[in-house]
Order: sequence, then structure tokens, then C-alpha cells
Amino acid sequence: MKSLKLGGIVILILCVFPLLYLTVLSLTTEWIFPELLPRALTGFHWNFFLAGNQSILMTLLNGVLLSSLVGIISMITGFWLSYVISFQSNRRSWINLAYLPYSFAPVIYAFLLQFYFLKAGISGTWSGVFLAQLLITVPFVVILCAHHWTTEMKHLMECVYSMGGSECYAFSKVVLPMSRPVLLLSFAQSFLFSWFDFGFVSVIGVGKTKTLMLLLYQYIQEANPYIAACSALVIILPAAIFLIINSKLISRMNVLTQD
Amino acid sequence: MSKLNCAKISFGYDHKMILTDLSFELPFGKTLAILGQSGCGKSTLLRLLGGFLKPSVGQVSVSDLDITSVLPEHREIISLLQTPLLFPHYNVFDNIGFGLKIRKLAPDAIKSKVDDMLLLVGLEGLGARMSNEISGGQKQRVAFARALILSPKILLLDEPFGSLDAGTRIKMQGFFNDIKTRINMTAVFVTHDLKEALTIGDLWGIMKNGQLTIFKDSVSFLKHQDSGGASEIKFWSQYIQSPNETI
Amino acid sequence: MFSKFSLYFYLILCLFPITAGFIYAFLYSLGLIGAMNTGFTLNHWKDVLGSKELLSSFALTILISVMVVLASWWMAVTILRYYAKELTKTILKNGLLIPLTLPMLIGAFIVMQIFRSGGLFASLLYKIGLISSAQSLEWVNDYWHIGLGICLILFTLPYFIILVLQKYDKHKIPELLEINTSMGGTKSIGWYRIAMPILWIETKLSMLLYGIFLFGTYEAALLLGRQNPRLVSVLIAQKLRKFDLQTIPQAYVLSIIYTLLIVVFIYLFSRKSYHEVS
Repeated sequence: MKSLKLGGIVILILCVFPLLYLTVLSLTTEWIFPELLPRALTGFHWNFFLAGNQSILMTLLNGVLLSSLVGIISMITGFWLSYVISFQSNRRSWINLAYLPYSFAPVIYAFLLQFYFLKAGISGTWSGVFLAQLLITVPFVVILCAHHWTTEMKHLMECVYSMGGSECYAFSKVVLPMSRPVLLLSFAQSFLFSWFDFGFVSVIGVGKTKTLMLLLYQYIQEANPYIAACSALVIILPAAIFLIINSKLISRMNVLTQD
Repeated sequence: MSKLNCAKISFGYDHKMILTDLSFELPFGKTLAILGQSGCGKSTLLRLLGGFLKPSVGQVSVSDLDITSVLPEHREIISLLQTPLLFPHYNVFDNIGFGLKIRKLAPDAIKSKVDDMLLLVGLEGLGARMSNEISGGQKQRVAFARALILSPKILLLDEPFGSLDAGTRIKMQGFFNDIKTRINMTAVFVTHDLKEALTIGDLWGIMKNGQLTIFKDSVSFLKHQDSGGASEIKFWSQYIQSPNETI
Repeated sequence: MFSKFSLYFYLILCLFPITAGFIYAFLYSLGLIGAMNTGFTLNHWKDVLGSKELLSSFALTILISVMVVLASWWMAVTILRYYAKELTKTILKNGLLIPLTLPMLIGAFIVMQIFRSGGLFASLLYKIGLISSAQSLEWVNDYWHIGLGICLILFTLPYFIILVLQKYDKHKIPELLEINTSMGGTKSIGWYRIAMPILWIETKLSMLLYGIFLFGTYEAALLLGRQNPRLVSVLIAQKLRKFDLQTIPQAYVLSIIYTLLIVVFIYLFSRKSYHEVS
């Protein structure tokens, strides 16, 4: 920090400020105008949020389960699809197709599809939200993984074929080990999309599939900023963990593809 | 006599022909050095021979057996590219032994063969090194070893020394000739370097406009207008003033 | 065989849901289906296209998206100009990733708390004597969408800083600026004639894509936006959720217009990215 100029320090403070603000907000019961800092810090709301409420724990577990499954299915499906389309002759056009669902605002996409989910009887259900989120996360993983299928990767696979190995063998012994960073990145990004999702959960889920994001919105609507801050910090936690893993993954990806 | 035979091979993309009516024979134990400029179809020919492309017309056969439709994994033909592509997550030992694992050899047999191959290619003691811990010339030797350990019928080399510096390149040419003699290798070697073609070839070919002209002796190859031999001789002769002058 | 099946699956995944949703919305907007369907009618389309509220909503959304993207880009490039060396330091590189961990709803919540009347920013201005009461500052649900703009810029800026920094390194702009200096050019000339054009060309596709995302922004608009006109996504959601069945066809008309705009933007993006890759 000492080596940073004043401008760099200001930028750093601005980056960290939201987390600091949420932390202080979560540790107080009263922070009113014109106070710049709350009068007292207390763990009251954290106690309520973490220890006193069974439904919050269930909501948390539900969210983890939903996001983990979305992450796993998206990672596998998207990775395989990116492999298939990356070796097509008009590769660019195939990849650009994935931008279409990816660019839609989830809430509007959800409204467009709501009728079909209602007819299928999965509106307001966990599986309905799960399927709806996959509609965006799978194309997203395709975009993420598309750059991974380089000419070098193709030649390495051909190397295996020329040595007598099958496509399955090339995948299991060469492609998958080399693809670990991009697979983990795909899982992390899909997990976070689902974890942070509000549009699909509120429209397709109709508020019945409880996630922390819905809970946060509820606290904001109830004008309870202190509890909202607690839930916000819990929501951010996996993102922070993945961020640390992601930045290491990205540098590992660079090392693996370097000569 | 066993040989590689290409008969009237044609290949193209979207109405643009890359190879037209290409034919040649390569007896086993010989190296065909193909010279040609960039974009003339040399690499396409190698990919056809390797089975990664299928000719629109024509036939590829080895020892009179038609392999035109045979998958790459069943041809026993191995390719080496200009950039030595090693598996980055395996060390040198595992890279070389990779093909033997596909063939499900016992670990002891793999170790014995890989150790012998490391000795043959001059990389003994480097088995534990990762691919990013060795030099460009060493990487190319590992790629060679990985191919040779499987005793392929034919080796296809696409400018394998192109990315190396001049000194290493000469060493690798010597290494190739040495290996070629020792194991009676059959190879198709593509290059755009005349000297390299002359050094390593037993037969020579000039690729131009998708057609291949074969030469069985180096003199007729050198004299051909498209080999660049005449211009090379003219270039070097301007630096030699008298018969007694040496460099 | 499996690859062919995978390709068909991929096509269906990308195109079928949007097409199906579009068809439903289209038929509903023409009165051919739905609870209040009275047979074919163009009245809902006429209502929307003739309505000031609805068209100003679209105009506002496009305006905010464009302004946020351009303002963020300009700020990112300016920060890069003066702090390029600082930005290469690990602590700052990692620090810039922190705002990217915040989802839009949380970011909007924080902005709401800070910039509402009686919020932290109002307290700060009060302490330094710039305002006299809490009500003097209200940047949430305000006329000029200041709070919404701040939120969207604060979200966009870190991403753009990382993006321009990557392009700055990839295209060796510091070396190019040195060449400019050695040819007698001033720092300003170097920056405005070399660095900025390169950064603009290299980032405009990403800016277009980000603009498309901002066009559909919902959570931030829901918490921080004005009641009238509302941003498109909020307007659509509120019309669809109202108990007034008359507004539902209008919401679907808006959804169709939104969908068509997205398809056009993606088509433009595809063409640009194709030509740049080729």
C-alpha cells in the first residue's frame, strides 16, 4: 500500500468501501442522519440472522444446492458444446448464437417464458428455476470455453490419434487435465450467476423458491437495512472465495498455455 | 518392396483446389524431402497422409493396402509439427511413454523403452523435467522420441526445425540423419530450406500449385528452376573471388 | 452422430426459448391469445407506439445505457492515462476485482443507503456545511436518475478499467507512446492520436455488449429509478404483474420491441466481431 500513489490509494479505497460500508451497517442497530458513523456496534442482527432463524439456514442451503447443480450441469454441457462448435467451419457464427440468450435481461426472458413454465407445471418450483437458469448459464459457458479450443489443442488431440489413441482417450488423458482451469472458471461463473439471480427466481420461481437474493430484496422492501446488510455479506461470501480462486485460475491458465 | 503410394490425389475447399492429381511413391527406409513455398499445399499433403483430411479423389496406400479411409489412430503414421507440441501437464518421461500407455504396455516395459529412447535422442537424465523446463531443441527431440518409440511405419515432418536457431537447426539435422540410418526410418519431410532438403533427403520433391515433381537424384533437383538452387549458387559465388579463396 | 445431435441441441437451446417466448408475446399483443383476447387487434400496438410514457421509457433506457457506457469508458481511459503504472500493481489489480463480486441488487442497495435523503452522503455534506437538512439531498428515485447513474457507473467502471488495461498491455501502447515522443510528439498528441483511438477500436465491441446488458438492467432500476418514466425492464415487469389485464398485452408489445432491439444489437455485434476476427 505504501508503494501506491495517492490516486491509487483512492481507487483502492473506493473498491473496498462497499464491503466496509456493508460490514459497519450490519454491525449496528441505528445509523441515522447526520451521523457519519453509527453510535455503537453490536452483533445483534448477526445473531438473529445466523443463529436465531432456521428458515434462513434452509434458504442458504437451498441456494447452495441450486447454484451448485446449475454450475455442474452448465460446466459439463457448455464445455462439451463449445468443443463441438469450435471445430465447425463457421465457428464464429456458432459462438455468436450463444450471445443471444446471454444478452437477455433475465427478468424479461423469464416473463417471455413464464407461460410455458406454467403450462409445464414447473412455475413456482425449484426445477423450473433450475431449468430457467440453465438457459442462460449454458450459452455463457460456451462463450467462456470457446477460446480454449485453440489450434494447439486440436493438434495435441491429433497427436494422440496418430499414436493410436481414441477421441475418448484424448479427452480423458489430455484435454480434461489441460482444461481444469477453464472448467473451474466455468463452474464458478455459472454458480455465481445462479447465486446472484433475482429475475428468474422472482418470476419463474414466483417467490416460492427461496434464495438469499429474494430474502435480501424482502429486507430492503421492509426498510430493514441492517439485516439486509447481513444477508448481503453472506451473499457476497462465495463470490469473494471464487474471486480468489478465479484470479489464481486465470494465471494458471496463462502458464499452461505458455511454452 | 514395401512403399508408400499416393495415386492421383486431389483435394480442395469450396471450389478452390489445393492439390491436383498428385502422385508419388516412397520406398520404405527412404526420406522424401519436399520443398515448396508457403501456401503451396505441403501441409495439406501431410494432413492427408496422416488421415486428418480425406482426398476428394485418389488413393493412399501403404504396402499395397489402401488406407484412404482408415482413421488416423489405425494408420501407424505419426506427424511432427514445426512447433513441438508436448503435453504440458506431463513431464518428458510421460510425454515419450504416452503412446506406449495407449497400447497398455506394462510399466516396467514402458520404463525400459523410454530410458532407451532418452539415450537415443540424447536426453538421458531429463525425464523428470516438465515441458516448460527444456529448450526448443530438446522439445523437438522429445517430440521425435515420442513418435519413434512407437515404431511408426511412416513419419511425417512439417518443417520440424523451422522454429529453431541456425546452430540448433544444424545439430537437429545431424540428429535426424543419425536416427534415420539407425532405425531405417521412412519419412516425408517438408521444408522451405533448400540446404535442409539436400541434407536430409534421399528423394526430393518440389511442390508448386498443388502439383508435386519428384527427383531421384540431388543434381537434377538442384538444377530445377523452382528449387532455388541456381540463385543460391549465384548468391554465394559473388563472395568467392578466386578458386583459392576459402571462407 | 453424437456431435450432430449436440449441434442440434445447441441450436435449440439458443434459439427455441427466445423464439417460443417471442411467438407467445406476439400472439398475445395481437389479441389472439390470453385472458382478455378479443380476436385480432392492433389496438395494443397503437396504444404503445402512440404512448408518450412507453416510448419515453425506451428512450430513457437507451440514453442511460449509452451515457453510462461512454462516461465509464472515458473515466477508465483517463484513470489509465494517469495511473497506468499504479494499475499494474497487484494490490490494485486485485482491488479492482472486489466490486465485481457485488451483484447489482446489493450495489443498488448500497447506493440507495448512501445517496438517499438522510443517507451517508447527506450526512457528509451536512457536516461540511453544504446542506442544511436531510431533505436537501435526494438522489434516489430522483428526477435526473442520479443515484441510478452513479450505481451503474460504479458497476461498469472497474470492469472497463480492467478491460482497457488489458488492451493497453496487449497492444504495447507504452512503447508506441515512446515512439511518438522520439518523433517529437507531445504527451497529449500521443494520448489522443495513438492511445485513445487504439483503445476505442479495441474496446467498442465490449462496450456494445455491456450497453446491451445495461439496457436490460432491472434490480438497480427497481430500487433507484424514478416512477415515471421507468426503465424498460421495470416497466415491463410492473405491467405484467399488475392486476389490470389491459396492461398485459402492452407489456408484451414492449417485450417484443425489446427482443427485436436485442436481436439487432447482437446481429451488429456478430458482424463486427466476425470481421475483426477475420
